[in-house]
Amino acid sequence: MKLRKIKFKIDLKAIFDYILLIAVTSVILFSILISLPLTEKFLNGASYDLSTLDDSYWSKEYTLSLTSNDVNDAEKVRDILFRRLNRYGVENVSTFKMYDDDKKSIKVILQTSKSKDIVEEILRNPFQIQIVTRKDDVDFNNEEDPYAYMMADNYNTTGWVRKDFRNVYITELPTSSGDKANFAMFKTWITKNGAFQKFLTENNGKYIGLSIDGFVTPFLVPEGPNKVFAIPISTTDPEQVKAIDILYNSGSMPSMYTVTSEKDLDVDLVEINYIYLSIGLFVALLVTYIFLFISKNISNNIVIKTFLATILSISLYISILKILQIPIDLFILAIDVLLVAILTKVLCENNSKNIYVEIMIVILGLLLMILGIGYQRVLGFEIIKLLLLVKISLIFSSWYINKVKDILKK
Amino acid sequence: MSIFLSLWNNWTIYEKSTTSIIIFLIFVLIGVGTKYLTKSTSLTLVAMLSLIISGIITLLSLWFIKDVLNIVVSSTYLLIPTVILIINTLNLSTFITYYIQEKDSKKFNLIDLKKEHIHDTINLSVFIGLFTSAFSIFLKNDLFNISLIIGLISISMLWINYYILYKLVK
Repeated sequence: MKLRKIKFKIDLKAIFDYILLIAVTSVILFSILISLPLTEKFLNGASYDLSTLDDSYWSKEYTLSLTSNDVNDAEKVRDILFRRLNRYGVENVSTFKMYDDDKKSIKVILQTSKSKDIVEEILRNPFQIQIVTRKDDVDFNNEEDPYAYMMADNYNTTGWVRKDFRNVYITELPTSSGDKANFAMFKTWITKNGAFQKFLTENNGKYIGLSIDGFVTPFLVPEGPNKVFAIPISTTDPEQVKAIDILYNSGSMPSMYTVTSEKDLDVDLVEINYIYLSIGLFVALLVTYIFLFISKNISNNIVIKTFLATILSISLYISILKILQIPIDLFILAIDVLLVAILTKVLCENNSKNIYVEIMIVILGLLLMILGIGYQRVLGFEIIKLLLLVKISLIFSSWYINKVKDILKK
Repeated sequence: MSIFLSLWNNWTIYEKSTTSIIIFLIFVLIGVGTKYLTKSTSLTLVAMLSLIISGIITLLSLWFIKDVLNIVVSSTYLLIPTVILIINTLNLSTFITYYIQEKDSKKFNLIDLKKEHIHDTINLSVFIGLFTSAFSIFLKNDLFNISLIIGLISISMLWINYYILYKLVK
């Protein structure tokens, strides 16, 4: 009796494809589930709440009274204040002129989610800078006046002010004790470099100082050539360092001022409900893509690919925000969703011919990030992130749909 | 026009200069980029005119909201010009890309470009129209207005772009 041989032909590649597809499908579903609202109610031990900026917002009105009565000075102060607050990322700043013949005041109204302490530090400090030398008749070692070295009245002005320097570079440098600390390095304009080096050489081995709003930080001029004027910064907190950088590098303040009044205001935010936003998105995508599918205006392949890429981009983005607990403005998220839907549709239909479209969007995003005001800067950064996410989602969607098709054919 | 004049007059030099620089750079980049890539003056003119018209329409819509509909224009509304600019740039880049890809092919003519563009315009109009209207229903107050305005201006711009292309590119 002959025994028939049974051969098992195992297609390892097909098995691997199945497993891979199942794993990838799980990841997609997981991402969609995390991005949905109220998921946290059904998952114990993990927090998937969307962190919004709504509770971080505060709003306040300040009135600043200037010492100078010159309109040009007042306009420059208003300009520098706006520039400082905008650079720090304050979302909403309005400055109003209150100019009388004998008094110049500025009203500043702001609404922001940024740290109140730092925003107020930026706003309250005029940061008027000048380099000073010690007066000969003042005893800086007098034990009865230990703060003599700090008072600008004890120093002579030198004529060296902020506008003589093109930039104040904040960097970490080694200290005499071997540790590292942040320093503000003053970089002169090329035309003034020789004169500034001459000034420092004249004060070789002596204490001079940097006066900021009437308080002086002493600086011992080192011996030797190519002297660097670097003032230590007393904080290591990155946010504080950023604020100091902004204060140093937002123009030369032409007038001192004081905050004469301040008033807390109600926060005025766009009303939006995350649950309604999600339902709206779901319905909008469903209605739009069902219509596109039925109308046969576009090939079904493209409709499916665009739909999958849109769902994937949005769910991945929201999942990343939720998992990493990155706070976001809900109304910005709503605009993001709108942009993702349009961006995915345009990029998917043009397929491989997108390089110019992508370059234009990146340039536009960068322009808004660098030169934009308030929320424009936020949107500039968002559009670049979203473009990247949409690109990845489109590549992934093509791969996924092809894999599913391959498996269905077998 | 009081909204724009009071806004402009109250702006700081920084706001005026950065906004002017952004507008100038966008004009230069899109204008020079289109001319360099397509070598076509008429297409460059289409791109420039489209940017100018989209700017005017967006400003007029903000005026309409404030002065005719009596809605307080908060800072959030000022995002509308930015979103419209992004969508318009997408639309302009799409037909410029099509032109660059196809201009060297023997079968290509400008009628093809117009056909491709009307196809894109219809598709995108339907998409934006359906998406923004369905999405807006679930939003309220300012965001409802913003979403609808973005949808309406975007669709208008798509058709204005087509009209300019149809008239200028022959």
